[in-house]
Amino acid sequence: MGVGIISRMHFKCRETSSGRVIVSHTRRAGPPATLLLACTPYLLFVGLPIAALLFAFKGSVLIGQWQSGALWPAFALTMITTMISTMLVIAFGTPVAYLLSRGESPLHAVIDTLVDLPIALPPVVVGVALLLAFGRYGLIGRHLHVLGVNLAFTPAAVVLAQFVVASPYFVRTLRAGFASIDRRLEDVAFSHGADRMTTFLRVTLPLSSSSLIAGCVLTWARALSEFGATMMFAGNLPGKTQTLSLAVMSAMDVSLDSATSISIVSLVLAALALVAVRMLPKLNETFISQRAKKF
Amino acid sequence: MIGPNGSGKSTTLSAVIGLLQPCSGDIVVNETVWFSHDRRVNLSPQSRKVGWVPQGLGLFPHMSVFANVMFGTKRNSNSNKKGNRARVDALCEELNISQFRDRKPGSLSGGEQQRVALARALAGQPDVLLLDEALSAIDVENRSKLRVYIQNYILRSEIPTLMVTHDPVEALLFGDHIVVMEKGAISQQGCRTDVASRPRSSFVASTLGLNYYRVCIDAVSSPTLARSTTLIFVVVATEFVGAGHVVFSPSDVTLSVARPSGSSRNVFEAKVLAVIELPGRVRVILDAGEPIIAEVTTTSSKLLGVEPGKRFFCAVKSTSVVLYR
Repeated sequence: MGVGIISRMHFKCRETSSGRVIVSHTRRAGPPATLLLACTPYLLFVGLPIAALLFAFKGSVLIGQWQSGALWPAFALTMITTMISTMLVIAFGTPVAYLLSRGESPLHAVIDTLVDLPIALPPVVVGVALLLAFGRYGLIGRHLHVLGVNLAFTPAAVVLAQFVVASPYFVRTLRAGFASIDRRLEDVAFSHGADRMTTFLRVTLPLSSSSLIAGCVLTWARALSEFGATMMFAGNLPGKTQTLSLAVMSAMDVSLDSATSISIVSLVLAALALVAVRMLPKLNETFISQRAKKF
Repeated sequence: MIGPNGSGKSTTLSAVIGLLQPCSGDIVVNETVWFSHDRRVNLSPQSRKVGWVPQGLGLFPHMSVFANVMFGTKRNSNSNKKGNRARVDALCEELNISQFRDRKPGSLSGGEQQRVALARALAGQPDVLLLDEALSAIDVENRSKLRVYIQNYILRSEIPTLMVTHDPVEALLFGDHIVVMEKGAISQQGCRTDVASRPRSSFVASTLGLNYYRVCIDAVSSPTLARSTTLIFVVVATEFVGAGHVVFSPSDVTLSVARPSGSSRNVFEAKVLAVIELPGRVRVILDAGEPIIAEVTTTSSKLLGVEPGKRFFCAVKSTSVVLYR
């Protein structure tokens, strides 16, 4: 067995002027056939629907929708609301991520659970909860209503729904980033007279930049795919609260073709976001290798 | 400050920096009280003027060398920026790091990083310099070079320095006042000659290569009997009774197959645990209930047939055994 593994390894060697052989690349041969076979069902389950979507896509339908302007409001609303909700998540999620990365206490456990809850809850339930809190007769909503502020079934509700559903992805990612930082670096900053805020902005945050960006992209992607909570809390009002994912459902009433073409727009956006996450380590490679060398 | 790993050296340093709050005691630097339990004084780390070179150096990996050193001036940022910049430039020049001031610390060698960390610590014009295992990350070849460099620098700039190390040799080279820590408490402190010639812990004694025993003296007599856990040493007369320490050099131990004759000699029967060959000599580690180290010439070791497992009689003259309180 051992011999078999070794025989499948390839070394690319080159000789230096001093006669030393340097192994520049070690590469293992691809995975064994049995492993590939074992992975096939999974790849089929996930890959086939995507492939089907691509096969069913008719470019002419998308162009038609675009030219008629039917697609534009949902697209614009989606882009604007997901951007705003992502920015709100960054602003309000960062301190929570920092709090959770520093210390263990019952309070931390409670907040930790609260942060994770929206992942486990059906988004529809989140939508109901949002209605009960911010709806016209809701816990806070009824007081806001008196002041003339109505959140439910407005673009603001779309943002709020996306915020609640997508924020866990940001907080969890950034928290892991904060936790992986050498705490001594913060201590060093304190010892040089830097206060907590300066230390956070100059040391902690820059060192977590890759987690921060990854968290942003994941959050944005989740906001993009948001459906259930938005449906419940913001409704499906074309031009007002209808995002791309809601537009897909409405388009099903018209034709499968139009639903498909809107779906493709979502697919492309999602793919772009995920490719961006994968590209990050490459962009950060020099930086990370320096860190690894340092400690 | 020396002591084995986990003896509380870095913890003490953290208390001086202000990262940990001691349960009692005072921390006073240049007559300024930084911490006092009784007087309820506890300055924040930000307001204590320390220059800290932590274990592993703690350089900011995302900042350039210059930015790292500049960070050290944060405490005096109220004063003019120009002055800080000039000071940092001078420090970089002095510590020979200005040629890579725009590079990231990760791309520098260990010794270069070391000098950057030192420059950053000094940039804030600290009241005290704290070095935590500053040289442990440097390879042995460059360590002594850098050690001399740092030592000279500290002497020239006349900055009070608290250095933490687990290497007693390093401490004896650097330190004017040496504090030995063991199991979270100070086991000995004093000037370097005192610590080196009269070790009060097996940790220091063993790195100096001495035989060391904690003993108890029951009565003042001539000769005096000093009892350790399992051995009894015959030493020349003393004036004190109670706990004491006994040391003797391994070269003062003679080995023999038969019980040696002679009245006032310390003789212990012991089993050889290990043999270490040195140039012209052999270091023999024996077990006589407590470990005894003997050093004999290679010739006599061959003659005696010293090897692990064999039993010998270890003899030490009572005049070679040093006893102190």
